[in-house]
Amino acid sequence: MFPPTVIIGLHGILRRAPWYERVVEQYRGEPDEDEEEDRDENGDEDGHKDGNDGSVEETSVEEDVLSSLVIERAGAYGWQTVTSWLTENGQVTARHEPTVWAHEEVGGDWTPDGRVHQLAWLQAGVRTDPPPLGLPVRPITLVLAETLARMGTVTFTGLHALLPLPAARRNTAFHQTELAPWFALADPDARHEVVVTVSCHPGKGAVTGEDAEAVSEAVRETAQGAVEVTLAGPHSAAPGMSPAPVPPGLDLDLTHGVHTEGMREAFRFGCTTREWSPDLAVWLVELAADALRAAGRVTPVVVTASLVLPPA
Amino acid sequence: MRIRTGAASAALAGLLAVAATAPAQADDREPTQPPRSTYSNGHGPGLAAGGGVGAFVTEGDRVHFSHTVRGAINAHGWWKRLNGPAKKAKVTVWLQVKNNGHWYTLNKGVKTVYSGGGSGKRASAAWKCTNLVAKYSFRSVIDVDIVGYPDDAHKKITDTQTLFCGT
Repeated sequence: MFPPTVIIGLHGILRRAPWYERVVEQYRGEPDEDEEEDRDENGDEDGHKDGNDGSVEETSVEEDVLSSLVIERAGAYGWQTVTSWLTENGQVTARHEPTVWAHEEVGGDWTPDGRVHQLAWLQAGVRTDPPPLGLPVRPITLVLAETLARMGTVTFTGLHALLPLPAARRNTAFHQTELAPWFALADPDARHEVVVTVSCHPGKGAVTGEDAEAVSEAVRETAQGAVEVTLAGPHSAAPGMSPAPVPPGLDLDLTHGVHTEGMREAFRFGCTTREWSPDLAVWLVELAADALRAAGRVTPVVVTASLVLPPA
Repeated sequence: MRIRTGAASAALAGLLAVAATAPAQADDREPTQPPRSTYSNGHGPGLAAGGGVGAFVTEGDRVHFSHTVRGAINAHGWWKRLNGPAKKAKVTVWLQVKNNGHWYTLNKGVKTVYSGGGSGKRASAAWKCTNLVAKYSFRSVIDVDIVGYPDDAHKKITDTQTLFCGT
């Protein structure tokens, strides 16, 4: 049982900047001292309960860089994502609490092998009192995409989002259809083939393949022609069937994530869009989420939007 | 809270040595006393506590479930220098659970780090839940102890999180 948690992941290929090795190592700085000085004769730290040391953190360069930069980037936009205390002249003069989301964990995979990887993901808590209007998919995606762009050239191929739909209220202040004119301002001759998938835990109230037609039709109507919905169909809905193959634009294994373990793909549908960007992918995810809510499927889901054929 | 004695601040450290030895936190499973400033009781007249360290920010995330380790909860704390001479700080984070009206420390993480945040520059405390059914309240307490300089005497506690995590 988990509290409301949102996870956003950006997938693609990162070509590291030529200066990456030099600058990132410098950015990470000198090795810090560990906890040696705080261990007692038995090697345990003070306050440490024998037999339960929780997770031992092994930090990667991706986690190290992302966990600092995304918090600072969000703060620069005015989105407070951690608890902070400002100390000036020996006095705490200010305290701030998370506003849009509460940062929890972050990571990524920047293996330079030219293949699609989950380049950056972020796990965050969602405010519950009062429940937010909608979920912070777009701002989290923005700071992740901007942070990746600092590392090199990103070929974006897909986005996945764990959405705790029960934790958020229907957004009555902003409607996704209001973005249709925004995404209509694009080359009308451009064509990008995209696949959208919806997954959730099985059980009562779960999303199933039977929801595919209603959801894809709602996305078609809300997009007002800025997106063509091409086909819909159920996938891996029947127990015992092998899971549907993960779309090629994603490096995603739901069984590996603590929050998504046990989820199965309920359905997928295709889209043709005039542009392909994290911004557009967020819109498709939000359109699908709104359609699920309208269909009465208010359950935690993973929605993905990714290229059918990633660039060679 | 406490003053860390670094090589660059031997004189100041000597001045404050009496105050530098107090424990910051109760041990395992004991009702927790908040970290207390040793400097607040030890400085001389005319010297404001922490006045020489400049400005810095203490940051932390709320107690949360791990993304990758099933049934484990984590808390992190770190610091960022804004101005002044401070270079490193001993950061301590206590992961605490509330039981019978008292807060108990489940685990503690300590790391002496440069300013900046990031997973390599933070202290972490984790707890492997004994089950995922029992509901408890958790919080973290963070202490940034600037090496060589007096800092502040403020108890930094993150908001309580209610999680299904047995202790």
